[in-house]
Amino acid sequence: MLELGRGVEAVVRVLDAMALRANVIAHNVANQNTPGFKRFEVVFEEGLREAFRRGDDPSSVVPTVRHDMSGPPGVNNVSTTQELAELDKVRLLYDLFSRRAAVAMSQLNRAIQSK
Amino acid sequence: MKGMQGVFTGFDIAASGMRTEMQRAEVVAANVANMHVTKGPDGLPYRRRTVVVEETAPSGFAAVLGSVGAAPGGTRVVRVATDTSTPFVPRFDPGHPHADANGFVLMSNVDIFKEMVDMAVIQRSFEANIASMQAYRGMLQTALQNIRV
Repeated sequence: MLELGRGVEAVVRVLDAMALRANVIAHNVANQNTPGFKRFEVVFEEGLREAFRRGDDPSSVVPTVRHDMSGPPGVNNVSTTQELAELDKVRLLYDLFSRRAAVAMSQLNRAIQSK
Repeated sequence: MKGMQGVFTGFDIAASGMRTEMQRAEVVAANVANMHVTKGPDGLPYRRRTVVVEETAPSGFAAVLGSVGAAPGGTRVVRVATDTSTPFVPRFDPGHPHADANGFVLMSNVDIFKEMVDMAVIQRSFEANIASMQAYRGMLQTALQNIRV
């Protein structure tokens, strides 16, 4: 069977991961003044790289949330500027991959419509 | 939608941050407004108020993707506490009706400079939450524009 949706699948995975990362960053920014708060981060690219290296299906990579316990214990470790820079990066990647999804889908569409 | 992150969760999280900063600003305003109160309902000078902020759903993200569910995360004000660790400041003012036998009036423990610095931090934090909300909004907007069927 042809796996038509496969190209979109991996792209959608990236979009999901980016959306999760945006939420996690929003959570970090919202807690920038919460005493003792430790920031969260989404680990995804490493898993993706590993999957490509091993030849696994990239759409099987699941983003995980890691609790970053760096810094002295009981001290908030959020750097707002760093979080906002990260968020801007997420935004660009989201833009890029939503374009990729659109391209994949329009290709699929063309394949369906042409006889 | 169990096991799924809502599309608008980011807005809720940023909004919770903004709400918290607003409440902090209100308490700072109350401190500044009451800094010269020498006798409150309890017969003592005004005690500086502080806000206790807590992270909501702290373990929510730590699990697998999307298990946050109903609790989107963010932050919240748990309670408003009174600052009992800094002492009241005595000021020599014998003519004051609240002066003690030695002519000292106990002033509130509000430190105006501290409050001003807090207010500046609150303002910037509020703006940071707005920035994260705008970025999130931009993300969704580009997705809507790009993925058109």
